[in-house]
Order: sequence, then structure tokens, then C-alpha cells
Amino acid sequence: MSFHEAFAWTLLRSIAATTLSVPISICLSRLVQQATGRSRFWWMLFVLCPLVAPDLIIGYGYRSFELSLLHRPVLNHCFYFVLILLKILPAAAVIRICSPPAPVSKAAFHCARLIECGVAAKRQHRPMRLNAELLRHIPVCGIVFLLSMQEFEIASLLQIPAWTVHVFDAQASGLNMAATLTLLFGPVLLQAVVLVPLLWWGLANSAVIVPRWRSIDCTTGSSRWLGLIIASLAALLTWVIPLAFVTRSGLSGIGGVLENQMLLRSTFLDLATAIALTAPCAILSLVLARKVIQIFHSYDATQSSFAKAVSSVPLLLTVVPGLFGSLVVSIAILVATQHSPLLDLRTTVWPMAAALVICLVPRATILVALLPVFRSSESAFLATLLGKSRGRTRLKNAADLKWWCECRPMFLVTAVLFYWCLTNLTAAAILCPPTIPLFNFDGNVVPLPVRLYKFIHQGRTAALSVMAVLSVLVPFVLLVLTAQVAPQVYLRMTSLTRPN
Amino acid sequence: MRRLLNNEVLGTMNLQKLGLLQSYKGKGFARIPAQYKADDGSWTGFAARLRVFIVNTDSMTATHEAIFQRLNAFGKDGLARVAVAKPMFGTTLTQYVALWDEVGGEEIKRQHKSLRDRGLLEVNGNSVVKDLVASGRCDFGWTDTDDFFLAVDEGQPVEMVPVLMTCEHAICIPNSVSIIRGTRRLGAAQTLVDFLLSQDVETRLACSPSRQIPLGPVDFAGLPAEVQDLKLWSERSVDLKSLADAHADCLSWLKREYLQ
Repeated sequence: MSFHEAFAWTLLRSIAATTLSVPISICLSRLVQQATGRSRFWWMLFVLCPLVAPDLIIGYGYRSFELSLLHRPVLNHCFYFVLILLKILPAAAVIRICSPPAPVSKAAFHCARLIECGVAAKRQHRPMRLNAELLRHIPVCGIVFLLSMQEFEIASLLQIPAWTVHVFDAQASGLNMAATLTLLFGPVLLQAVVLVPLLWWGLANSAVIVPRWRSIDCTTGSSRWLGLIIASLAALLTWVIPLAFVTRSGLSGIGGVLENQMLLRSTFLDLATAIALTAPCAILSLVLARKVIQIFHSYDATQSSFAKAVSSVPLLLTVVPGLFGSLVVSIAILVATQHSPLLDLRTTVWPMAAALVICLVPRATILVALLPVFRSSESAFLATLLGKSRGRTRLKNAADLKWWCECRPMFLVTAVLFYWCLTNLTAAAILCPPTIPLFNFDGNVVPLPVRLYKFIHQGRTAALSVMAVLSVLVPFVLLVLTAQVAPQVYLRMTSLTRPN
Repeated sequence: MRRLLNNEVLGTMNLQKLGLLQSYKGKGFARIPAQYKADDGSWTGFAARLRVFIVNTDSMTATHEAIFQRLNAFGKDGLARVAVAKPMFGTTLTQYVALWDEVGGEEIKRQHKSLRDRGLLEVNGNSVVKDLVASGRCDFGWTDTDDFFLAVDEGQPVEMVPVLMTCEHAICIPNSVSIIRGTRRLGAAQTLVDFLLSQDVETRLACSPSRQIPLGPVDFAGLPAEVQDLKLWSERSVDLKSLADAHADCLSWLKREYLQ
């Protein structure tokens, strides 16, 4: 299949996904928006969990199933489309939750219709109403289009034609950089065209992009059920089934893996390397995202367009590159490090780390924008008041409340970013140096996902399945343990527990 | 330590052509036949695999005659149950290069087009070919012996038939090891090369699940029975060292074909 055909397939999928994203994202966002209190957090986790599902596990888990579809290309395409749609839609739901309402509400239109009856009035209002609706859909459609255009790992593992797979193969086969960049030109241009209205919307609404807990979309009970079914299907297809396939395949080989000390040692070293590399990247991207949000919220409505544009430059420079996706970012960095003065960096981890951070910043920005989800201003105020008391128990309660109100949400966001970073295969596969000299180990050490990605093309084996399950479970267990320990550490460290 | 291990020897030969490899003729160099090492010692092969047809015995008999009868099937979907890895990479590329060298560029292009027109299933890697044939979704396909033996160990109904060139030579593809020029830990790199080229390592790899074929002299009787058969094939195989020019031409055509 030629590059143009692969590009056309990707474009077709992206357009279809974009079209479907509008009604489905309304159903999904409604699920979260209708929840109250603590249940909101769990609904949110339920709806958004497909977003962090590791592509490696999805592709590897469905490997055997996908082989059964190779002789039925139409079904194979449909299966892949459903998979990526379900994985991407939660992002659309997040964007919808954070989007400001349409400038002219449905109630206003209704009133206008009542006041000015007649065909002429309807005709007059129709474009305005269309504009108002479209404005709400711009960010949802834009994000879904970009994410489906950029999808690479699952397409590669499931042998689906996509421009990203084509470019990656071209780069891996040693195609010269000029030719690779020529291939990139069209897709990058198209994404840039989509990015313009998205960024315009973001900058124009910078002060009002905050989570909204009362849905402004008119939805019925049946749409809530539809949302529930879609969210369940997404969790099932992106987490439960692939992980079950991989675990079942790994169970038969667990004894052999435990006996193979060499394999165990290298697996844990690779995993430790991945964690040691991605944790700082996640934290750095979080810091950058908070800066971006600060700039975003500091825009003054009275500022002139020019002043606004000038103050947007650093924000755009931080966020926009990552919006082009891991593949484009990684290849751009690869090209940069093949020429002086960056040539010496080629065999270090810095290019990979830079790509991971750049790709993570836009996602981190969205998560930071979502932080108020978990905050309650009443609780925060209470914590502040309690913190001013003298009693030790009250101070302890204040610190405890402060952890729940402010630190815990930040910890959750960091955890999600860390997991995203850990499972970013594209940047790691393209930019990872041959070995990473961490832990003073005299051998070949690369982040575990990179090694797994290389091995997975050799087929499914029990040992590989065990490694794949470990790559998901160990970081998850570490995060859960950290979540248990962190509040205690916070309580010990915070000065709030010490009476004046 | 900068050393290169590559199980696709044509790529290593390319690095040799670019002058990136350092010559080293250590203890193990002498025991490897001349066909599987660079004359200047810039790379040395060890423990090889054969290109084979993997055949599902529930679907057809595993003979050259039966395979070629199927390969000559006409019609749009005549080869829909035959699989091959995309030839851009790995040992499938080596096979294409060997064919290019033997029958010429124009003929291989014609054959390739004919296979694709008749619905040959091109997949990501030899392991996928193995899985497709072992599961009965394809009748046969091209793969390597190490993948074939994985299917055998899983108890799948498969047999293999070596891929032979018209001169009746098999395609035997060794692992290769070389030292990258300018390494700062030359001593350690040389020790590793000596270790890999030893009789002990070749025997261990022969007895491993991948049943790699020892190229140097080993205790023949101590080898698994299937490796003994493979070793006989490996002794009359295509000389990969003569394929350097064909490699460049073939790869350049494949890039045009697949990455246009």
C-alpha cells in the first residue's frame, strides 16, 4: 500500500471518528457531570480509564484475534476503528466538560423564536444558532481528529494501514531524512490546519475553560444509558480483555520466568530504568503545564489583540509542538540530533526525554485544567481555618484535609502523566539510545516498553507475556503504594501539625 | 563497550562497507568457515538459521512439489492462504536479495508483482507467518527455522521444507558479531566476540528452543537430531558475502515499492 493510500485510510477513519465524537462525547460527559460528591471521582476514573490504557498491551493482547481477521480486511478495519474510537472518546468527553457553553443558549433561541414568530425570523436565527453549536463542537472535533490522525502503536501492532506506520517503517528502513520529512509534510500541514481553530478557540476562551458540573446539553435518560454502555465497552475492550489475554498467555510461563534469573534481572532493570526516566519527565511536564494554565488564566479581557498575541507566544511554543503527536515530534528531534551541535546528544537519553516531555505537556495542561474537579472550595477554606488553630488534633485534621483537597489531586494528575509517559512507545522506540547507563549495570539496558516493543514482533511467548503484564502491574502497584504512603509523609512533613 | 550483534548479516556487511567496523581475528575467528565471515575480520558469523517454508500438515503435504503447485495457483485470491513477511526488513529481505542476485532484478520484480496480484498475504514479520500457518489460517508461508521450531514446541501441526535456490542451495543466515570502530573498551569487546564465536556458545544455541545451526566444528553427535539435519543443509548454502551489490539494488527497489 502506498503512502497516499495509507494516508487516505487514516483520513477516512479520522473523519468518521470526528463525526461520531460529537454525539457520543455528550453521552460520556453527561455521566461525569451528573455524578456528585465522591462518586464523581469514580465515574471520572471509569469514563477516562481507556485514555491511559497502554497501546502495547492492547496491540499485543489482540494479536491472535487480529490474525483471525487478516483474511477479512473490512472487519479488521472496523475492529481497529472501534478500538481507537473508544480509546479517544474519553478525551472528547474531557474537552466537552471543560468547554464553555455556547455564546447563545438554547433557552435564548427559544425565547427569540417565541417573540419573533414566522419563517423570516427562523431563517434569520438559523445561522446564529448553527454558529453557536459549531463553536461548542470545535474543540471536541479537533482533538478527536488529531488523536485519530496521530495513532500509531495500535495500527502498527494490528497491521492496519496508516500514514504513521508508513513513516515509521520508512524511517526504520533507513530512508534518508529528506525523504522522510517529505512524507511528513502533508500530514503535518493537515494537522496544522486543524490546530488553528483549536488554538483560536483555546485562546479566545482561556478564562472560561474550567470543568462544568451541570450539563448544558439536553440529554435524555436513554442517552445516559448509551453513555454507560459505551464507557463499559471502552473499559472492557481497552483494559479488561487485552490484559486478560496477555495474563492468560503469561500464566503458563511464569514458572520458567521465575527460574530464569537473568531474564528476571534484566526485566526489572529495564523496568526500573523506564520508571527512573519517566518520573522526572512527568513531573517536568506538570510544572510546564501549570505555568501554561497560569498564563492562560491571567489573560486580561481588556488587553489588546496584539498584546494578547505577544503574551501567547511562550504558551504556544510550549503546547503546540506536542499537539502534532509523538511520531512527528520524535522524528523532528531525531533530525535535529543528526546534525551538529546536537550530534553528541544522539546516544544519550536527552532527546528521548525531551520528546516525552514535549508530547506530554498538552495532556498535562488538560489535566491541570481539570484539577478543580477534585477541589472543594469549602473544604479548602475549612483547612485554612483549622490550620490557624492551636490544638494538635485540629492541626492534624487540617493537614489531612489539605492533603485531600490540594495534594491528592496533584498526585493523581502526576500518576496519570507518569503512566502516559511510561507507555509512550513511539518516542522511546525512535529515540532510545542503544543502552542507558543507569544503575551501573554493565549490560544492555533500555526502558522495558522499548524492549517489549522489539520482542513483540517476534511473536507471543509466555515469557514475553509475563514481562508485558509486569510492565503494567509493577508501576501500578508502585503508584498505589505511593498513594498510601504519601499522605503519611505529607502529614509528617507539613508544619501544620506543629502547634505554634 | 561498543559491539554489534545483528541477526541479519547483510546489514552488518553494509556497515563494513561504510568502514564503521574494526577488524578482529580472535580465537573464534578461525573455527568459522570462510563463507560466514569477512576476510578482513570486520565481522564474523555464528549460529545460523535457514529460510524455510512452514507448512500446515492438516492443509497440505510438506513437499516442494505441493508448495510450488499451490504457488502456481491462478486467480485474484489464489495465494490468499499463503503468507510472507514484508520484505523490507530481516531475513525475508535476505531471501529477496539472494533471489535478486540469482534471477536478476527484472525477474524478481515480475515474480513479486505476480505474487501480490494473486493475493499473497504480506504481514509484519516471520512470527506472524508462523502463527498464521500454525493456526491453520494459512496453508504455508516463508519463515525461519527458529520461528518454525517455536510452532513445533507448541505442538502445532507443522512441517518445514527448506527454501532452495535453483542451484539447490539453501539460504542460511548467520548471526553476526563485530566491534564498532573507535570503541573505548576494546578488550571487553574482544572477550565478548571470542565468547560468542566459541564452540560452547554454538552448541548451547543449537540445543536452545531456536535450534540455531552451528557453523564451526562442534560435536555433531551431541546436537539435537533436527539440528543435525539443518547442519547438512547449511553446508551447501548461498554465499551471502557475494550479495552486497544486490542488497543495495534490491533494497532500493523495495523502498520504492513499499514506501512511495
